[in-house]
Amino acid sequence: MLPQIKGTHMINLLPSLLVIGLCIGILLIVRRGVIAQRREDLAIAAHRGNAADVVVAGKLMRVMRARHLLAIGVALLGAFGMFMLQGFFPKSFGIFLLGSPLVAATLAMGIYAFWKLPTNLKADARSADKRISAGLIPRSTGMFGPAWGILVPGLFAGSLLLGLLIAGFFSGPDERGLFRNLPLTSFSGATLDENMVVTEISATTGSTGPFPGWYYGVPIMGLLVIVGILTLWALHTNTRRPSLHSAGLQEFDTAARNHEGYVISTGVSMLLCFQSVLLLFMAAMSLYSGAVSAAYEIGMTVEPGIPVPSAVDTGLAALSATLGIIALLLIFTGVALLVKLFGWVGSTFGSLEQKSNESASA
Amino acid sequence: MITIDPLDPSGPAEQIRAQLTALIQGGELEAETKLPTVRQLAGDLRVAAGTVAKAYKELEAEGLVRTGRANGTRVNAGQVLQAPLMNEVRALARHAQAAGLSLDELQKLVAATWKN
Repeated sequence: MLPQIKGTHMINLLPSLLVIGLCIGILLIVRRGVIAQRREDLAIAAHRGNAADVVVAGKLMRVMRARHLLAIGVALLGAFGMFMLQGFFPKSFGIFLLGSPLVAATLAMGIYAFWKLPTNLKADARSADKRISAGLIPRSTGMFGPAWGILVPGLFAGSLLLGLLIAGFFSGPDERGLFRNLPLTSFSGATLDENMVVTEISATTGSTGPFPGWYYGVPIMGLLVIVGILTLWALHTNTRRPSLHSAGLQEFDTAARNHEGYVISTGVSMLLCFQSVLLLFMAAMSLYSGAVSAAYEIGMTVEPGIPVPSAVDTGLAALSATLGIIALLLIFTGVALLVKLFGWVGSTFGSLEQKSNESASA
Repeated sequence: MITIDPLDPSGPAEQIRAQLTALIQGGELEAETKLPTVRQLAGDLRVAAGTVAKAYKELEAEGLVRTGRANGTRVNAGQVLQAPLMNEVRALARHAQAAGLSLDELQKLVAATWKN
């Protein structure tokens, strides 16, 4: 008898693992002090200058905070909009839901690419010091933010593109001609004749879905290219931004660039991660349902309410399980990135002047 | 780091050239050090790109830097001033600081002495 795998167990397991992953991710990040550390970096760098410099740093941080909030807001709105579109077009077979992480990423990266941080900030209009300082270190796009700032999103995007191309080549059309199914060929068949199973050996073709074929793949690949261009443009804008006037703010200027680099790279990596999770789960479910078929035997009778024993194609099931496990690992990674992102965005909150007073009184 | 003072009569291109010369001859910018692009430095200093390009061109004419299409602008080797002169410059700066003079005041004193 072939092993039985019950789909309901897997379906119940996924949310539980998701919740456990969320908890572990948040705990790890908070325990490692990432949230407090990033805030400290910006605040310390801002206080290297004089009182006027702290005011300028505070102004820049307020703009950075507004930019982060707007990017998060439009990303959430974009994702919500996709949910709404799914409601308006129920026969779209979930394409709007599936593409929501990349739509969110496109909108958020658009904010970072086109809303440039101000460069002529002054403590007040009558600021006496007109001198302008500049560092002599050449800046490049990959210089600010994490070391993996371009590599990880690039790997995610590359893997997604490759996976979608492979899935596209293996996909087949459904009854409406949309390439969203996985064609399968089996060499046995069975029919029911008055509750009696009649088996026959013949090559039959069928399909299972939804599978991330061209129907889903082409729009997602298009969005992926747009997100890639916008992300690189956002990182380039962060590098190209003229530095702050004051010599005392050069360290804060670098810290702010690093901060923006971290937010952009972490945000886009997190959304690409969740995009990969959706596609991997879709492919895994599709492969799993293709791997499991009812194991009819001659003379078997089918009674209502009693499940028919199932036979599992071990190759397809193993592939499905592998994709599922990768998706679970990516959920943990995505949650960890999400928590880190909140940490860095949170580091722009709070008043630098207040912090200065606290330091002075201590 | 270099600083531009809009009130300085010498103009931004000359200020950039003079400061970069001082940094190269003083050994703070070592041989083969890559300088920022014209566009980056012009943006940071809020001057026109042509201003920085002019300063770089003069430095190139003096043999202090070289510009290659792919390599950007790099400091040439062997441009550090002889050690005895540098030691005297450092001593002068030390004495001026001890006397409570600002950099501007010291520069004016040197300029006045230079003319004599």
